Amino acid sequence: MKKFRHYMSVAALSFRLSMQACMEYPAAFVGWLISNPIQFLVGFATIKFVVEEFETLADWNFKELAFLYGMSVLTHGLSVIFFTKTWYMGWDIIHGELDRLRLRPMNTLFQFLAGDLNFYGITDLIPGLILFIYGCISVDFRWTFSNTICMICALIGGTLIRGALYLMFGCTTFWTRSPINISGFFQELFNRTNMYPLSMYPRAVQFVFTFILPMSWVAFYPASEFMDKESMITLPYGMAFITLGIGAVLFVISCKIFRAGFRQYESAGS
Amino acid sequence: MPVIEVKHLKKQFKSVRKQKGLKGAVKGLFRPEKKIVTAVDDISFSIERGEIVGYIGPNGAGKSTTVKMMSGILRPTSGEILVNGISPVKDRKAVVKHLGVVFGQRTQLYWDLRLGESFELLKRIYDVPDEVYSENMAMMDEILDLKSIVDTPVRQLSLGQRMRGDLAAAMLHSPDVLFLDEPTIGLDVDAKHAIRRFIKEINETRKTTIILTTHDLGDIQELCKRIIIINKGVVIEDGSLDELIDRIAPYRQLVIDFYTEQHIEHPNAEIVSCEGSRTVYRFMKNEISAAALIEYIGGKAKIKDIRLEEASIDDIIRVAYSGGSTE
Amino acid sequence: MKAYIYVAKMRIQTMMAYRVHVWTFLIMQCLLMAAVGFFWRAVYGGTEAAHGVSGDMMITYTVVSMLMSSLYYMGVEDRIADAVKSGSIATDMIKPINLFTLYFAEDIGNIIFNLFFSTIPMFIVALIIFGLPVPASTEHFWLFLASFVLGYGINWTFSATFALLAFSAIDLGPVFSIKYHFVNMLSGSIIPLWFFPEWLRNALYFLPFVYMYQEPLSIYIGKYTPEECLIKLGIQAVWFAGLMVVFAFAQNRATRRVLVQGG
Repeated sequence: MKKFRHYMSVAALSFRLSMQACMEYPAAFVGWLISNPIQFLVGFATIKFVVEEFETLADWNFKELAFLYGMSVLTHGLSVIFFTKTWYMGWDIIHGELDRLRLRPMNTLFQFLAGDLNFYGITDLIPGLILFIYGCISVDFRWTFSNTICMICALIGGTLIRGALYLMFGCTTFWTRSPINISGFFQELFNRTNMYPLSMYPRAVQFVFTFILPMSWVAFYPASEFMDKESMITLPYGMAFITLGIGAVLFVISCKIFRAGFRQYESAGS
Repeated sequence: MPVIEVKHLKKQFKSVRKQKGLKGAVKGLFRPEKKIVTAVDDISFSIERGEIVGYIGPNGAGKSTTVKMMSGILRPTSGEILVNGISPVKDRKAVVKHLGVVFGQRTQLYWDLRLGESFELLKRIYDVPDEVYSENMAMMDEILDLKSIVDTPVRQLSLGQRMRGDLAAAMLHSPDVLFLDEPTIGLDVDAKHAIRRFIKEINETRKTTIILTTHDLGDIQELCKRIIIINKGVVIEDGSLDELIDRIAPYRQLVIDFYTEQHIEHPNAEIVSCEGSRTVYRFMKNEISAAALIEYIGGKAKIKDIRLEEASIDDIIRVAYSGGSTE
Repeated sequence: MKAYIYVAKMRIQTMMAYRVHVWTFLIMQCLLMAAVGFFWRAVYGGTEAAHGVSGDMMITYTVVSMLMSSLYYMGVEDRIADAVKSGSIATDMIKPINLFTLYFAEDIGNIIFNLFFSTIPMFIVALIIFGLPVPASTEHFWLFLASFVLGYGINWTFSATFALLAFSAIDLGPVFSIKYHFVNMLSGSIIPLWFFPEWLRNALYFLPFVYMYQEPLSIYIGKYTPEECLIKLGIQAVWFAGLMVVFAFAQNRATRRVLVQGG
């Protein structure tokens, strides 16, 4: 318990400091506050134009698609706050920036993620929230007790899935000594698999994004349960919990990989 | 019990060999060529509480690698390290709790934060009690004059200021062992002086054990009673600086200006040069004392001026480096 | 000239050093291409054609669009941003070679690299999944190639000019991000403009973006007759020339600024 309090106090302070550091460059903050919503606006417009032409996508109408997109973008915003560090970890590893984490008497992964929370993520979270609320209103989402619980599980699970995948792919640099551009790789794919219903794709593609790169659990599966839609996997109940479960399992696996990677970590030694 | 014990430490890196030219690059894309580099081959030493040890060697000798292994950043390939009786491989957290580390080449501070905020965060991370923290801060402020820089963002600090901040940050949790990897690199005379004063003071008042790697022999002369010289991953010298000087350069030079041209000989002193009224003698310290030599010469002719020269430490270290090489 | 060829070659070599990056990038791009292609197939479903374009044509459109984007590598933008940020632009500008030709040479190096390690493998994957993305006719294919080169020119000069004009912005990150999303959307690289509402579509034909992706692609799938294609090429050439003028102006301005203020 004492340990937990200690860790929490470090996390809270780093978030406060990240906020302060961010406020030192108000121009940049405003810049991102303008530029980040634009990408979601673009995504949103894309859905609208396509649906206007073809009316429904695999049985999903515009309102339902807006709800799906809202969930996806909200988990994106959350993952940006907690996991952006992973996007650049390849460069950190190669330049020996992780040395510092080894010098402090705390868990390395905790320091890596919480020691440098990204307050700029707010600029993704705000448009995410707006889209999410818009989506919920347009499908008239009922905030009953069980729906609320399910939604919270789905959002946490979705955020964890995103973060865990970033972290896993970021960790490859420990072995390969070659950084990869994580956000570049994943943003488009996440958009593709969660902006449109996965069920419209051929089964092979569905299979890939369900079991191999389980990206569709971020929004598509829980949303299809909320919307009562058909999907590759039909379960009577509990997609949201499965999302949470997958998120948790993936996150634990990614932690293990991070740990193993750190054993490999040789730092840039001079 | 020694504070630090290192036994037969070895560290090898695997690295991808860059192949030449476009053809080589294409080959590397499909089948990268690996090679093994031995940074540290076989290093053993032990350090007692309160010592200041200069850990020196030419570039690429394996100094930083050793420091990184001792502080738990790198895992040794083989061998054993004990810091305060604990192995950093087995219990990193327990070791670093009582350890301060400063890398001159890279700051441990948070780039975008004010210096004081970095301290605040470190205080939380190390869970330093309030009274210990304020006591330490007061002491650091006195030696390093932190008040003038504590509100400046780290990225705006000069190198010397940043190093002062780094040192203070490393001492916040009152560690009893301090590793300093090139703490004076790139600093001006004033800043160097401040850093050295800090090291001395900390060592005297707190009995902090300090390991210092450096290329600045002024640091060594001023601070270290003991030096460990390594080259190509092995220890080639371990002892006091005076001993080393006695062994490698057991002679001194005496420069005497007479009023007229003189040619006075002494059985224990060799005349190196004799130009005009100036004569330079070289003698072994263990054969004759400077006083006796001067008295002898003074008895023969009137002396105008005297200068006694030690062998330069640069030369000594250079000899030591090459003496340890395997060629 | 030799120096520039050397730079291009060096660039290719540097790219190869990032082994894993190369392979992962390729896999992700292929996945993305499959996803986008299947997306259009599913969207069309029973629909014969929309706006005179069939489902198969649309798949060809997207596949070629992705192949094009793997070749439209605009390293110049980051290079200018980095040079400004690190202040090296002042020293770079006094070197005895033209800085922007140098950047261009680097990008050419990138293109050659991407051609072998991105475009061609992606083409093969597309071939397997969707079949050959056939151009409307041989004639259309050659017209497309010309249009593609002009499209590259427009894209490059636009990026370089943009980076130079954004000089004064404190943080280029968000500015570039906005530009990236705008180009993505407004050039028709993701979805063609004919799906956009009419007022927007009409306005966009007065901007250079459509001439980067959509027009070359439309030529490829045979949306235009050869005569119309020539007109499109003409418009592209005009845009390219215009942007070159603006670019020269921006270059002058930047050079003067650097020389006066020291970067």
